[in-house]
Amino acid sequence: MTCKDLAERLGAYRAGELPLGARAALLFHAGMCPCCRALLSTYDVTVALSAELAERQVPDAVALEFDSMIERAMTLAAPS
Amino acid sequence: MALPVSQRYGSRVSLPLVQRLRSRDRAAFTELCHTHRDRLYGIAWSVTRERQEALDILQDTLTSAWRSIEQLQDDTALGAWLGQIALNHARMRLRSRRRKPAEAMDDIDAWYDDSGHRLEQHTRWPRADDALERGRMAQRLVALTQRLPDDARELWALADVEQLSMQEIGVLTGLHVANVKTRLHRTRLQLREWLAIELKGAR
Ligand SMILES: [Zn+2]
Repeated sequence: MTCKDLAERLGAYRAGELPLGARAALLFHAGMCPCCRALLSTYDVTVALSAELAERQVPDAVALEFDSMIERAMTLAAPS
Repeated sequence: MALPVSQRYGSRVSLPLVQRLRSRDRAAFTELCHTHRDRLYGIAWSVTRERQEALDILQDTLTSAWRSIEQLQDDTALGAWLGQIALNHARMRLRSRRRKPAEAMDDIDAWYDDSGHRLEQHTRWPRADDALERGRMAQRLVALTQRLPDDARELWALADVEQLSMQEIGVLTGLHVANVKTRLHRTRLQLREWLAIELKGAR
């Protein structure tokens, strides 16, 4: 496995979808290659940062206004 | 205390939801909207990252849904149907507000020599343990996603921000799941690459 192969298989590896042989080859390569270990760690950081960018809950405006939004939808889109 | 919606509208609750919806049962529609509220908002917000815009998309979604409700089939997956409407509205809004064209994503081959060795070696990033530093990095990442083509950014938003499953994204976008996974990984590699360049420049 080359560094490029590893980069291409990283998504499947992190999703737990790499077949056993390919997984072993990836881990073996990473064990020997500091560059790919750095790729692994920075890839994980990138994914983890993205997850932190979600809104934890719907804003109050949605919770408070939602019933009026539904009413408005049924009024705006009234069948002619 | 407010009455349950079914009593407020005198709903024919014994009928299957789709049939009640098709006959424009207001209580059924209200119930449906509440069931999917958070997910619809999540789709709208993660794709646009603007609260007011997400609220507008949510309103447009409900309006479009009610308008076309008579076209529902018995086997329509209601969550997917609503999600697709929300995503379409989000896409329209993004298209109308895009200020500068997206950049092309790198060709992965350009990062490696002919024997598959990485040309510019990866290095670890400084640990960002405190919330402030992590927040800064996350905001950098958001800025970098603006450089992505819309379809790549959308997959990133739905998968990595909103944490929807690959299957769900496949249904929403009409892409095969394998295709979603490949493109998402490609996008993550690109974002990682751009972020690495920024962090190196900042040191
Ligand atoms: Zn390597």
